[in-house]
Amino acid sequence: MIRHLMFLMLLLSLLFLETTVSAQGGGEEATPALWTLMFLTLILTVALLAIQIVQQQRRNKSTRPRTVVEVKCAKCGYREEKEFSRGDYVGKAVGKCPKCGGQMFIEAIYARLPKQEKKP
Amino acid sequence: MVQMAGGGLADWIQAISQLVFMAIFILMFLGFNQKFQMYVWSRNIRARMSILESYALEARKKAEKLLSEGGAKNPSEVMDRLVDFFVIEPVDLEPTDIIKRLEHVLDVREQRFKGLVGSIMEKATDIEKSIAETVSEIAAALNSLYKQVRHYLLLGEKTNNWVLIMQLELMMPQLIRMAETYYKAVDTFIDGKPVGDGLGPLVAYRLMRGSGAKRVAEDTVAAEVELEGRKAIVVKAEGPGSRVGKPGEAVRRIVEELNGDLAMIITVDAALKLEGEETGTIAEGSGAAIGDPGPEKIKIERTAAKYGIPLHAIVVKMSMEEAIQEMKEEIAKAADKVIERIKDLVRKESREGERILIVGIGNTVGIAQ
Repeated sequence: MIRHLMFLMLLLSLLFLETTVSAQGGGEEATPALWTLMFLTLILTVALLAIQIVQQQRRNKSTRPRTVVEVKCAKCGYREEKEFSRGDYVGKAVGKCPKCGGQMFIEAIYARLPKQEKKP
Repeated sequence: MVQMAGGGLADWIQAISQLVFMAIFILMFLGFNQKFQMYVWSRNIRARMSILESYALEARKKAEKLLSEGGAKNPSEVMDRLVDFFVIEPVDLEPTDIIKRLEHVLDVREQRFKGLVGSIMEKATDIEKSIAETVSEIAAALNSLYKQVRHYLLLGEKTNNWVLIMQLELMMPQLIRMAETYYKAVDTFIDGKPVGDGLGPLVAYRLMRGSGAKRVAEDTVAAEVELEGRKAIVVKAEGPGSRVGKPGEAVRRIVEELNGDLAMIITVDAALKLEGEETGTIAEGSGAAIGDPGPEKIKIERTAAKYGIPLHAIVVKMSMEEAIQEMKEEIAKAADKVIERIKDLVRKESREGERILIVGIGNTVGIAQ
């Protein structure tokens, strides 16, 4: 949507520029309104471009997934999550259960997105 | 004076504008528009081709780094051989024993790859070697993709074939997406994290954990467990290295050893979802759910048909990107649902005390047994 608006503003600013130049070239004085419209549409174009870039950056940042390591106790079923470190794999023994002292194993390793967007 | 000068300038601007429009009109009749279009398309393709090139080079650098970390003294020389490695498909004009010929050619390729990587990575473990092989294969795939795009672009420019250039321009978004998928997968494999295709091995692990898995075929293990009062033999590739194993050969050996005394064979795998389908959806069907070129799949089918063993398939839907990149949460959560489906199928389609075979198909990177 923003991209379409941006192109529309750019076209309008080019149109106003052409009208202004033609008017000046024709010996007429381009009205202040015409100059204002031209600069306004140019500024809007730049502003929309800036918004587009910032939105894209925010989108890239927010969709970076986090690796989750699910750890489960083989005895009592207690579960917890921890950060991934190189060398982790599903089935690896990773310490004792804080509840019952049983052996904990890595149950799953997967990527979790910060925001899950459902597509139609 | 100012007004007269203004009028003269306007006339000049008008005259030049008319001349320019006339020139453009004439050039369009002479085919200049096509040449210009080709130039614009070629420029776009070159811009995106540089992205493909960067992916190929980066993947290659990462593969070389892995090889040198594993003790390789000249990783660049080995990578030169690996990235251009090719396989010639067997003759299909004569389809007799084509599967056997295809299997032979693929085995030779696999052994050669393993041999090249294994021989130079003296300090590495089997897991590290398997990961280096996979990363090298990805680098080779990206290199091949870049070279093919470059070939068609140069061919189109040399022969002024604007149709070829147009087709390439239209295909570029898809090709970039594919290359990006492969490139993102490189880091996943280097870190040893499970990928979406590891769904089958994850299900197999959850069924067989702690049951003392034994090797039954090359890079493939099996374990016998109790499941709903039945004896379940669970098969998966040997992890946590990056391996797919030989599940077809494993099934053939197990079934022959048991003389076909099995109530059913269930294969669990990832399947490509259609656009609009949700990732992690489970579907059930019949047949062998395995995406190999043919040799392993046909072994499962032939063995099941020979002894009349029902062949069931349970798949979890995901996109191609999700299959080769880091396993998503929805896919990992689907593993438990798949196990419930298996139990339900086993309860309904077999009797207590019977033997069943469950095969977890897929790349087992990051998943042990």
